[in-house]
Amino acid sequence: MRLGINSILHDYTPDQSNYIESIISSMSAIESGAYISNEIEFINILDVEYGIRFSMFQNTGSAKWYSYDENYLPVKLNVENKGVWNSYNNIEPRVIVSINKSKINSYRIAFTRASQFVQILSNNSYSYTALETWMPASPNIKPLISNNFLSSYFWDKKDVSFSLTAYYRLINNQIDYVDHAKLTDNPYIDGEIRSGEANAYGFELNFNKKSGKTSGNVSYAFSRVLYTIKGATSKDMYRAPYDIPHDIKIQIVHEFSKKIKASAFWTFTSGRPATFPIGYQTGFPHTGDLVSTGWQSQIPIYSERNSGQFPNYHRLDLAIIFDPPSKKKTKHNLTIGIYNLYAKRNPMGYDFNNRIDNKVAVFHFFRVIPNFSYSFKFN
Amino acid sequence: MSIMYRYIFNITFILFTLSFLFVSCEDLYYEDISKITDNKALMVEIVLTGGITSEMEYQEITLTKPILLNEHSIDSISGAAVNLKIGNNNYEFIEEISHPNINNLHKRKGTYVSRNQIKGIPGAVHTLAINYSGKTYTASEIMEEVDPFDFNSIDLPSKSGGGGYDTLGVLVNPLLNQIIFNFGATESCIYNWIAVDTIFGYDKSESSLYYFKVVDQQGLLSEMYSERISYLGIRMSYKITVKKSSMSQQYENYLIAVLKETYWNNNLFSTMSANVPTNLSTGGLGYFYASDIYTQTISARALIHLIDLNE
Repeated sequence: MRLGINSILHDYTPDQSNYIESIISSMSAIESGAYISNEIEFINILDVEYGIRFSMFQNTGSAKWYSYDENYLPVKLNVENKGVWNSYNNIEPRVIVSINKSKINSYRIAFTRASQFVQILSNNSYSYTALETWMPASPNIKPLISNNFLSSYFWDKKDVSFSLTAYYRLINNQIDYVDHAKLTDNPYIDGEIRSGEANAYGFELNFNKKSGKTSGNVSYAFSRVLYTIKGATSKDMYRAPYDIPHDIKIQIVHEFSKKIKASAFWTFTSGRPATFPIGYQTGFPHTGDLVSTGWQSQIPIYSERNSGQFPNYHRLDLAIIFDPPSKKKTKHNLTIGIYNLYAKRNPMGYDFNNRIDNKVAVFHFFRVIPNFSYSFKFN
Repeated sequence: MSIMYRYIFNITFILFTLSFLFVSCEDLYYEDISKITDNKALMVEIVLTGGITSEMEYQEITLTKPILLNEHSIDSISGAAVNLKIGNNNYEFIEEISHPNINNLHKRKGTYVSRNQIKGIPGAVHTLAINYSGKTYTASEIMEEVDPFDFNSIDLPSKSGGGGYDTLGVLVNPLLNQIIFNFGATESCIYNWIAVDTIFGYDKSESSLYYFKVVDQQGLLSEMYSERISYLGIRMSYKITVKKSSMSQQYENYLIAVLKETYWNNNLFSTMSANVPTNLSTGGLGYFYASDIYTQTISARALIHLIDLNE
C-alpha cells in the first residue's frame, strides 16, 4: 500500500508588460492532494492496482475578479482580501488491471480520472507562440476533469519489446477563446472564454531493440483531439489546436566500438491545426480617415477554426559520441551533433500581409544547428 | 581500427563544419499559397459595403467580389438589381455608371445609388435586397435613434499649437496609451469631425472616432475599444461640423471585429482570428448599416473659446 500528500503554492501575475501598467489582477492559489493506492495479485496472472486521490484547489489571498452575466458581460467587480475565497474539490479514482504481468505476453486495462487546475490557452494562427496563457481555476473557470480509458498489450523479450496501447479520454471543462477574443491587456478575459468537452482517442505502437551493437526505438502514435465547445466559434465541434494525428519517431544507436557510437533520430509529425485566411473582402464604411493612416481595407476571410494545417514537421538529427574508456580518475565524453541535418524548413508562421504574386512569406527558426558537448566526471 | 576512427572523425568534422553554412536563427522565405490554403473553400459570392443614413441624400452601397489570396485586383459586381425597403416603401438603387441623376465624371462600376435622394427612418426596419446572378441576397437592419449632443456637454480636447494654427490635442487613454477624444459617450456611436476653411473652401480636415460600448463593472463605457485618431489641425477661419452616427449592436460587433482583424491586428497576439460577422444572407459578406445622424456645427473660434473656458 502506498499513500502520500502534496501541496503546491501557485502565484499568478498575468499581463506583465514593459510598456503599460498591468490591468489584470494577480492571483494566488494552493493546490493540494492526498492519495492512497494498493496492489493485489490473484492466482498469479491477475494483478490489480487500485487507489483514490483527493485533490483540492483553493484560490486565496488578495485578488480582483469579475462576475459575468449570461451574455458574458461583466456585471460586478469582486475584491478579495485574504483567506480562501473559492475552492474546488475532486475525487480521482484509478483502477489498473494487468494480466500476465512480468511475462512475455501481458495485457493491461485501466481507468483513471485526473483533475487539472491550470489550463493553457493559445491563439490559433501560429504553430508556436509565446502567448500560451496559463489560466488557473477560478470562479469563472472550472478545473479540467479527464476520464481516461486505456488498454495495452505488451510483448517483452530480453532483447526486443513491442507494445500496443489504445486509449480514449473524455475531458470536461475544456476551455477556449471565443472568436476575436482580445488576448492581451484585457481585464475581461474570463468573459471571452467558453468551456465544453474535449474528446481524445488514438493508439500507440512502440518497438524497442534493447541490446546488441545496433539498438533503437521505433514508435508511432495516431491521436485525435476534438473540442465540443458551444459559442466559442461558428461550429460547436472543431479540431483542438494540438490535434496532431500522426507522430513517428525513430531512434537508432550504433556502437562502432567501445569508444565510438553514432546516433540518428528522425521525427515526423502531422502539421498543427491553425486558422488561415482563404481570401479577403474589402469594405468598412466611415473609414476615410483611417485609410490615410495606413489602415488596410482588406479583411481576411477564414474557413472554420483550426481547419487549416501547417505542413508536416520532420527532421533528422545525427550525433557521434566519443566515449573513451574511463581512466583511473576521470571519465570523458564528447558528442558532436547536427540538428536538422537536411535543413528542413519547418514553418512557425505565415505573414499573410507579405505576399508576392502567388507566394506568401513564411518564417521559421533554426534550419541546421551544429552542436557539441563535452563532459567529464571524476570517478 | 585507427583508420576507421580517422574516417569517422573526418566525416563528422566535415559535416559539422559545413552545417555552419546553414545556421540561422530566423529565416524568411516564400511559399506557394496553394500549398497552404484551399481556394475552393471560399464560398462567398458577393461582398456588400455601405448603408443608409437619416440624412436626405443619395444613399449608396458597393458590391464587390471577394479576393483570393493570390489575387490583387478588386472586381466590382456590375449588373445587380438592388432595392431597399423601409417600412412599406420600396426604393430602387441604380448602378452609378447608368444613373440618370448623377453626372460625376468618374462614375463607378459596382456602386449602386438610390434613384432619388432618400433618408432612413429611425426605429424602422431597413431591408436591402440584391438580385445577382440568379440569386437573391438580403440584409436587414433597424436604425437606432441617435442621442443628440452639444459642445458644452462633451469633454473637449486640450488645445496646443500656435501661430496661425491651433491644434486640437487629444487625451491619452491611461489604460492602453491609445489616443482618443473623450466625449463621455453614453452609447456606441461614430463621431465624424469635419473641419472646413470658410475662406479657402478646399482646405479640409477630417477625423473619425468610434465609440464602442463596453460596459465595465460600474456600468460605465470603457474606452479600451476606442479608435485612435489623428490630430485635427484647424485655423480660426475654420468651421467645424461634427456628425454623430448611431450604430446597432450588430453593426458595433461588425466594426469591432473588422478593426480586430485589420487595424488593431498589429502583432502575433492581437486576437483570435475569425470571420467578421455579416447581416447579409448566405453566400454574402459585408454589412448593410442604418445610421441615424445628428449634426452640430461650430466655428473654430467658438470651439477654442469653449476649450479656453474649460481649461
